[in-house]
Amino acid sequence: MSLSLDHEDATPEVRQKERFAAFAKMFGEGRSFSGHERNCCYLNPGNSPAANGRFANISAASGLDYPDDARAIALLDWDQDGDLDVWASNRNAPRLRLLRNEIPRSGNFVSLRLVGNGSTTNRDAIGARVEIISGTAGSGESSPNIATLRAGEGFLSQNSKWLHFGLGDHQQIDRVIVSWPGGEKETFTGVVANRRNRLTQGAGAATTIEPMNRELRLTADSQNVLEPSSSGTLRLVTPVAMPPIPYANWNGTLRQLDSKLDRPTLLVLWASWCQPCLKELQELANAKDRLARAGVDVIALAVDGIGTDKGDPNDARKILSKLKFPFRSERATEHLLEGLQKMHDRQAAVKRPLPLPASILLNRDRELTSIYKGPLQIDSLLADIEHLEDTPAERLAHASALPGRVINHDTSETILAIAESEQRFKTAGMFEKNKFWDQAIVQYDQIIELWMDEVDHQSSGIRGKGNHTASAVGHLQKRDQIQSLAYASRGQINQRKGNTSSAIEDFEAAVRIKPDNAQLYFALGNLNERLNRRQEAIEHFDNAIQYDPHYAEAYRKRARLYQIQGKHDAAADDLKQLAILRPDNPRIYSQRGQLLLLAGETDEALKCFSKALEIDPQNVDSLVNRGSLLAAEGKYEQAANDFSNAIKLNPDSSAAYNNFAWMLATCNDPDYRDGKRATIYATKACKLMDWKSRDTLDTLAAAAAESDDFQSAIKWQKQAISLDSDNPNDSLRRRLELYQTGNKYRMNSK
Amino acid sequence: MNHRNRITSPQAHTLTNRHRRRLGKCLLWTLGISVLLLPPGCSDPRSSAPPQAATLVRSDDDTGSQSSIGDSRQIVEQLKKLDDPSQDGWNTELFNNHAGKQLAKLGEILKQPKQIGAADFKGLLTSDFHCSALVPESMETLFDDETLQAARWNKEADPAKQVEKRFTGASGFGDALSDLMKPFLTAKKLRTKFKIFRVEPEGKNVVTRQYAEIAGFFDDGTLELHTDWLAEWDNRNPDAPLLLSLTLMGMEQARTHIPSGALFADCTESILKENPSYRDQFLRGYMYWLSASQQMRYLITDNLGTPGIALGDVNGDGLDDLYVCQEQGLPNRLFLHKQDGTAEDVSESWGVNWLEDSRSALLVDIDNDGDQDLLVAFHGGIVVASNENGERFEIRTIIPSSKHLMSLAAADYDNDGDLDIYATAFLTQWRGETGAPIPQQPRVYHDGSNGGKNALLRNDIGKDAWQFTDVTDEVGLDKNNSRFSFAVAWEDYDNDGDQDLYVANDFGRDNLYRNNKGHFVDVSNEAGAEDAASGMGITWGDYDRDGWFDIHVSNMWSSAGGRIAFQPQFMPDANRKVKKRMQSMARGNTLLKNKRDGGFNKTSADSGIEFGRWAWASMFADINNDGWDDLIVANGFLTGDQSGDL
Repeated sequence: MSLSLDHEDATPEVRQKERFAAFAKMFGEGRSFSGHERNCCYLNPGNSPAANGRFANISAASGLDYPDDARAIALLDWDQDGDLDVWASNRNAPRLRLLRNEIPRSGNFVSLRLVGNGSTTNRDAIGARVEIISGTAGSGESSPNIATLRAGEGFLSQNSKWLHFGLGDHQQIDRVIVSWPGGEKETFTGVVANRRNRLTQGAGAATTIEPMNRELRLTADSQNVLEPSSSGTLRLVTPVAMPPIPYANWNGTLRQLDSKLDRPTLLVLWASWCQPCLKELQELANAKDRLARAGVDVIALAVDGIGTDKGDPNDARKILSKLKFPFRSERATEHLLEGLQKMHDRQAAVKRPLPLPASILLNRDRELTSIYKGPLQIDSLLADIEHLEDTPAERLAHASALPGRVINHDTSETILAIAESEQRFKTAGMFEKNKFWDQAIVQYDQIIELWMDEVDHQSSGIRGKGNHTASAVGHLQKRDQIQSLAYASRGQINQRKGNTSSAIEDFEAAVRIKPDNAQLYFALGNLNERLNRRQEAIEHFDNAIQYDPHYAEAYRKRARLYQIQGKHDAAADDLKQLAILRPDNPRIYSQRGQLLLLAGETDEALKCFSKALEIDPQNVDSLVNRGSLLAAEGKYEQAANDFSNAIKLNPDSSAAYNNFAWMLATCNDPDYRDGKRATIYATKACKLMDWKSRDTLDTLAAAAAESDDFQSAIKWQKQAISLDSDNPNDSLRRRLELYQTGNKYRMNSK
Repeated sequence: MNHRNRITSPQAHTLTNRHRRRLGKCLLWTLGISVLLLPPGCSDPRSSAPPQAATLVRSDDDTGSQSSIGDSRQIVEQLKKLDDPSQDGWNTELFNNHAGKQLAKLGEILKQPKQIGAADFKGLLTSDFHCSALVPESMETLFDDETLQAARWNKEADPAKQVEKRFTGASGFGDALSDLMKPFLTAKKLRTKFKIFRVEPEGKNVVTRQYAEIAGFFDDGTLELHTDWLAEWDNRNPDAPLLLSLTLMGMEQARTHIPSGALFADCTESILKENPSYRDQFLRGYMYWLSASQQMRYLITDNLGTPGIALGDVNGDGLDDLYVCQEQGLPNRLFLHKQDGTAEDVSESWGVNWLEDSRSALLVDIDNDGDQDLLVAFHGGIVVASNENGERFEIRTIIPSSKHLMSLAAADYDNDGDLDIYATAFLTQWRGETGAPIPQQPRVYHDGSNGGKNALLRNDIGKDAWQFTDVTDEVGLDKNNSRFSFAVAWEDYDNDGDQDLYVANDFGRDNLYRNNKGHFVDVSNEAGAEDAASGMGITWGDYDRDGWFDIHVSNMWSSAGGRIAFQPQFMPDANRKVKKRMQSMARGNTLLKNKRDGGFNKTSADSGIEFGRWAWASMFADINNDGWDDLIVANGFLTGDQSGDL
């Protein structure tokens, strides 16, 4: 989005978008990225001396090494044959695998299900630690065999609550010690190896579960993944406003679709050479009455002859008349195709070229609601038309690829409204980026409207149900955030369009919702300043600073207003703050230096300029100002150096030329005076100021005098005086007297 | 996620419209000031001299500067370079591409073990090629039972003797390879794969290390070889480097004797085939669904694929049922496990075929009433549903969240008898408090700390209300809590009776929080458990059976990262710590051995488990009932389907 109130994040945001674009492009093109990678399985060789603590890679031997994009793994003994099987889920197809453990004669095992008492211990006994003591007691050191019951681990995975232990050669379990989550330890006897046992807290003895006599119908077989299909429908959960939709009539005249439509409209892109297209047109023609009853308009747009297409628009036209095509028909344009592809790519994560035929369904507001890639089914089109006026929840359900349900809860609606708002922000951002300001404003209007309803709904909901307070509060915050942002975004566009008072209204609405958002006050300050309402502007900057005492820009703006109002002390205070907040910003030092000059504190000012130049040796302001101060102190060499550097860095700096020329024309040291150069520089300065600056003309006059051209000096000085209306300056006239008497002007001698 | 390729270099600060506008104002202001400001004292104080005050020249808005990002810019740039093999200075990557092609040719030759004698090595070897024996004289048995044998060459035992035999020329190489491939002569199918993990230029030559993986499939089982070669290449023709020599550096092999061929077999179809949803939904990849669904947000998490799975007995018949999470627009599924081992999709009648973008689920008895309730983390929050008589689920509450939730884990952290929930968040919410979009990219690749905040939700379910309270901050878990967290698991690692917490984070350090009577302290650093890498998954297991739980963290193993990050010219200016971090980003999975004193030793390299590719879930599992926890690692990021599209 071009909107970015939070400028601290502007750069990462740009990077994020770039990164996302690269990422989206990558898989939009169907590329693999660390794809086809096989799962791994490592055997723990236990205390084998040769292994020396090192696992053995048995990935291929395990048969778990499918080249899937695997994600989650969950363990259980699915077939209850005494060893662990694996459920795995994948990103790609097949998306699920039950991998049955086929090891025929593995070691002994025991399987335990814990039952907590439900008061001191959760009923599932999650967090309980179990230790198996197997074999004969006292027959030497045997390693402990422990496990903890966990709920959730791996990645997005939860294993069975049946704790599975391999026992190796041990066929006997002496006892099992359970440390219940509260810390209580309990020893269980009667745990039978190679069986499933239930250990109930407080029982002391295990309950052995008789094996179920299951007649299993499991067979190993490869899964028959479905071939990717070449057609499909992308239904939008949130309809998206379309930019202007261009087309051409059969004479080739360019037209645009109206921005409001009488009826929902289906645009069909087709070509005369495309057989499936012809079939589709025929089907549409046949369904004429049904489509009329459903209240949908159809426009067939032929792509023949566009770009590299070899088709002939005349053929297309002939086909339509032969078909007696009962709907409107026009020609597509290259811009239309590009635009549709762009709209598709914005909405779909997988960005492939649209096939032919391709159709889009627009609602009455000319918003995009569905994209049919490939041939379209009349029935599903009719169903889509029926759903055009749905609520967000209904739209989510209808747009889903497969039937299912939307989470039905008080908060679901809010969650959907949030998603809908985000979607509209996204669309608005696209419009803003392309400078379709009005279309962007429509999106913000819609967001504001969406949440207007939500306000009533929410507030009544909260009063009615005290038990959802926490979540309601969270959602209220979210609502405030979205509403405030929508107002502020609209305000920004109004500001951009020069509708300053509308912009102020929007930002004031935003600030009513989020009264603690410093940036909104900052925007209001700027807007009021634009209307020359300086006092209001200052008050807004006051607020911005109150809510964000580190808001450097607000200090800077306020300082500037104080300066204009002549409140130099207040301005200086703000700039001091600014210097603290932005210690590395040369501009602040340069600005402070100028304020200090105003106050006549030349020594301090000189320090500021030097500091600014320390941070940024190329700060032209500071070079010019320091040069002037140095010249005043008689340090002409250093001054000349600063001026020359300033001119080199910014050949359009009138101040640099002017101040340098002034020194060259009027300084006390004849070695540094140079009437000729002074005249050249002063002329340059005058030109840069369009011959409208009193000061540069004054300098040019002094330069002329220094070059003994008193006639010119008098001429320029008079011109300078003529510009000296609002703030009469005696020295100008005094210098004119000097020139009229054939004298040159000099800085005062030391 | 950790993906070099995803990182792009930070853009130079560009002037947006907004900036330009402000700039205009600056100039305006400037002119105002120049009138106001009187020139410095170039003349006597009573008369003002003409020099203007210098105009305030524009300086680019400094507001976009990022002093906090430290060296990340440099790192990001480096990373970007890594992606382009032809980039100056990384000729080794270009070399890797060419050498990789040569090795692939060799792989094809190996797939015809009977014809190796007659194989043509032209264009592959120099005339003076020589190699060590590629098979050691003997290997030590690691494991041996009726089904599985595993053995490894102990190089340290007697290195000289083991491979002292020397082969020269093409015919010699043929002999060495024939020896290597002898056990595969009767294989029905052969698979070979090479992966170069170190490249070091040495004058005209280049030295590489690579893993070779050879798997053969027989009627009675599988044989797999993992071998490690040191190769010297003549690089005079950079397009086709020639092998100068090969030396055997390591070998490990595993052989199964099992009718099914491998230890595990895919039985999914027989379990699920009766359900229409199996064919309609699960036999198509997420790429297919993505092209038919509106991209709701800008975020990458929407495209990762997050099919979380949870097991639990929801109808009390003694059989664990399966809940599967699905992404936006696809219904989640509940499969009831039936007596005959098949499973029935009951998601519609149980009311849990939710279409929201779901990530992970837990089946736990959250209200302590003796049945399995359901929690699902989705984009928008966590839905909590109670089990109603083993017949359906009823939504009791939604814990809203604007973060991008990933994994859930339940434990009773305060030992009050009910289960609390910890939820990890990868990305933060889309917009910040000010409404501005929040950057979702880690500012510092090796130490990303602008991710989503994880939450500990205390179970406050009462008689009237199903309430959860976010206690993250008050229990001390808000420390280092802005990382890109993918996974979490609870465990009592210090054996003091309460549940500690390990959180696996992408883009940098993980978190180990020690539970101190309900208050948590981030001890990751002092415990040596930071594992600064690309954490994707976490599993606990006492793999060495010392009575103390150890940690396995799934990360990213990148051969490209290894090839580059270990070269001296990689980030020559970066400080040692940063460099080390960068190296560890590509180092693969991590095993942290519990030292029993509150600390951990990183034993990954010695344990041989680093190589786990692009890992997601990992799980300790004793697959052969020998009492020792083995390891399973799920791998793979994105496999495209270039052939098919919508």
